[in-house]
Amino acid sequence: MKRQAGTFLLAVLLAGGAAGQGSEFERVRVEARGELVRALEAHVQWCTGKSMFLAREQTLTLLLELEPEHGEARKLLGFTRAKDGAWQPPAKPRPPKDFDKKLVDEAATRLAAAHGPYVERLVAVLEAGTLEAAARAAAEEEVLRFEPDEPRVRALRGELRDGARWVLPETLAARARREELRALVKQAFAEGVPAEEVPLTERERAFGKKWSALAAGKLRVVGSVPREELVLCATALQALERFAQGVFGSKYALPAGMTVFLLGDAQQKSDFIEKHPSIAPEARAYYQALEGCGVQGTADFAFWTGDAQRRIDGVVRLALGYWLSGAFELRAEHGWLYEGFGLFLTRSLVRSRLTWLAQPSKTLPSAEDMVLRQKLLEPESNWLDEARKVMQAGHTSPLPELARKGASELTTEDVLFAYALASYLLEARPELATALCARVGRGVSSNQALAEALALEPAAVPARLLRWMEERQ
Amino acid sequence: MMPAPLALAVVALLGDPAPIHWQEKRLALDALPAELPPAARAALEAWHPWCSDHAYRLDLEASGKVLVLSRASNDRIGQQLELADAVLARFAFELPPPAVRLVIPEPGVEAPPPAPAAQDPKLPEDPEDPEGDDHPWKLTSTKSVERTSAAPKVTTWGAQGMAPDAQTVVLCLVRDQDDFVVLLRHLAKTYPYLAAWTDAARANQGFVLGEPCIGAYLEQPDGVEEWNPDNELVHRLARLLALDRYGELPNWFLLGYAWQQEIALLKGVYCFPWRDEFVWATEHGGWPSAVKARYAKARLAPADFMNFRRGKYVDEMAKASWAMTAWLVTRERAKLPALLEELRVFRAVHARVPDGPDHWRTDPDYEVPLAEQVKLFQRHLGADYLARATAFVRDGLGD
Repeated sequence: MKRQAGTFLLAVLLAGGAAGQGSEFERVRVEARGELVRALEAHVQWCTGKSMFLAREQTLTLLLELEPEHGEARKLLGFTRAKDGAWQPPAKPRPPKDFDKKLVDEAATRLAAAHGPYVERLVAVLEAGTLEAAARAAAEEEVLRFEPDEPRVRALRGELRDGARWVLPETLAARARREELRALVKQAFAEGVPAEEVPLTERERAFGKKWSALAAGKLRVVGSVPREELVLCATALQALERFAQGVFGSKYALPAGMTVFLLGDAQQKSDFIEKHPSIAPEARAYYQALEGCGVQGTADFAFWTGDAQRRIDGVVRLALGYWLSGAFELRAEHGWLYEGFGLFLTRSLVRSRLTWLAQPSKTLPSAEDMVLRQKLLEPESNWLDEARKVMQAGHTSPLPELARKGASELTTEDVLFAYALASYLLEARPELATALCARVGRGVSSNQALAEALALEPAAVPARLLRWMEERQ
Repeated sequence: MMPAPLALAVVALLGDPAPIHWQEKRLALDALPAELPPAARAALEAWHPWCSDHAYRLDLEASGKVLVLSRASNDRIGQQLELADAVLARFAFELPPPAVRLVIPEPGVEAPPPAPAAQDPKLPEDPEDPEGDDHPWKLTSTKSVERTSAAPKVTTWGAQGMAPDAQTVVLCLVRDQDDFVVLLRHLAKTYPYLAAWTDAARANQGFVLGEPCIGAYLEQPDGVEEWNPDNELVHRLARLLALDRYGELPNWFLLGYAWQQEIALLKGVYCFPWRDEFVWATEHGGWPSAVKARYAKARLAPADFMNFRRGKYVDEMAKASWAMTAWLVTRERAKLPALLEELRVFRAVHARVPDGPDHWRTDPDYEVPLAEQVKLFQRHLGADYLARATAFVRDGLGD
């Protein structure tokens, strides 16, 4: 009789269409919960009769979650009434015990049988596929509370088994892709041509007569810094070209005749800027204010700030900027893509993220922002963890707003969000990354391109991203 | 056309070393007395060349705290120094230094954000190779990023980052508009960070700067009728002293305090910074009665004065700022130093603007937000401070 009534209710729900589904779902849940409470009460009686007090306590606790004013459950759990009528927990609770160990499995089976009909009714509602997002999520959570491994609900959520846990498909895909990326990096470094010392050309001598020059294939690295740094830079730039080609499946190459200048002090920087024939006198002040540059209209790149790692990091970012621009027409105006992909790929190659264009935070106090920015520059900084924190705190721009920003308009939090998003795309959805870059380069807004590629509303992206980041361990 | 002998005399005067006066003695720059305070010595050394080039004299007030620059022919310097002494005396009484100076934390040394809770472990960056052992790139950056924001070593007058109460403040009584422009050019050249400001400042008849701690005003600007150079001296010196002791306090307080000194010493207000419109002769007096009338029934609200920002004169806010400051220095003098010291540190920390991953500068236009000011005022003066200030405005301001 009861089963028939439940079926009728479900039929009403399914016939009800989309309107008012949330409240219909609530009605089903309330109705089904009544049956569940009665089944649990019966299980409590069985546990008491068999002296299975631990199993009984678990069931009583569940009963109280469903009906907080369940008097019998409170009494059996040792609660007493105070003078004002409020329930008081036991002063000295004693740990319950199952006295018949042979019945432990049977108790679990009986408990599952008690909540089985409730779970079945919720699963049926979910499988009908008519619930709106919020009601669907609530129903899923309710089922998983009783049956954490309920396979039909896990499948509906698009989750896959990963050992003892259920994860997004992207989590497993990313793990495999990270393996491939590491292999690509190793291969990119291994295949470089050894750099050899070569004489300075006439134009290079004009900058600094005592500088050294190395050549590696089509690349020249010139400067006053120690030879080891020149060699490392040549190695990193050759690896960069191969790595970028491998990641994006592109044959686009760094420019022939590319020359990189690594300058160790301010005087050399000034000499370079003053004497470079393609830097017009009126542009010198602009170049002087930079930490490094690509000289417009040439294949010359220079970096003059910080230590060896800082200079190489900077040159790799500049070269990546050139590569992304040539391969996809992606430029600094495509802020999050330019910064996110640029930073991810730079770190993949040379293990640092020292070159970025972010503006101060708009939500963090300036002192806190400064601390964060300095922290992000430290070698052991953990950007994904920092990204999670700012995303959870709601300090990142909404995706449509982020997508409109150029690289120099991004805040510190935006850069972290961009980095997390790039990591997700390059690790978890590599099949989308190349097409996304190409579409954005052709003029499609990155917000639209991303939403279409992921088949997600922009507002849903951060939650998906956060879940992926948390499962990434 | 100037007769030839007089012209020669002026030329000779321009070439002479500028006279320096202190405690009724004439000093030579290369033989300054040992007892001269070091800050005063630094100020003389900084300004003597400019004064020599432009036929100005240098007069140090007796304690060496104030250096007045004025045209060599200034025959009112005695009275002007007396007025400066009076401002100093009131300042020492009304705005004493705090018992304890707070330390402005360096960027990057603030307490780090709280560590993640135990149930919220850090996400690994490289889950499969956490130490990077498997990565072919082995070079790393030096751990500590080079800082370009360290406080510069202070060796000369006007250096940035001077400690509070450490400078001799300089007040320049500028002869005419030409000299005003020359002075601004000199400042722009000596302190390049002021270059943009000096361009805009040419349109004014005076200025007050905290860094370097200098003020200036025209002795008699062309076409301005309602002008009293003594009020200019009192007003600008009061602000300079407050800036030197407590840094860039909220605009309402700095101006309010300067007007408090004007009204106390000269019985009227003639200095109206950032005021564009004509000043009527009747506006110099009557501030107490105007404020009393306004707050006869209304209560002072934070926005009445705390929203009074630099760059624009708003009469009602100006008068409310003065009234509030008058209450503070009259009735809350004991609590004021600690409150102003907190404001100084708050502003120093929050006016920092990162302009690169490891660079920062100070935003000269930053003002402590109203809500933060209210919090500080309530903490130091009690939640009912506005009620008490209003009562003072109604009954204690005088007429």
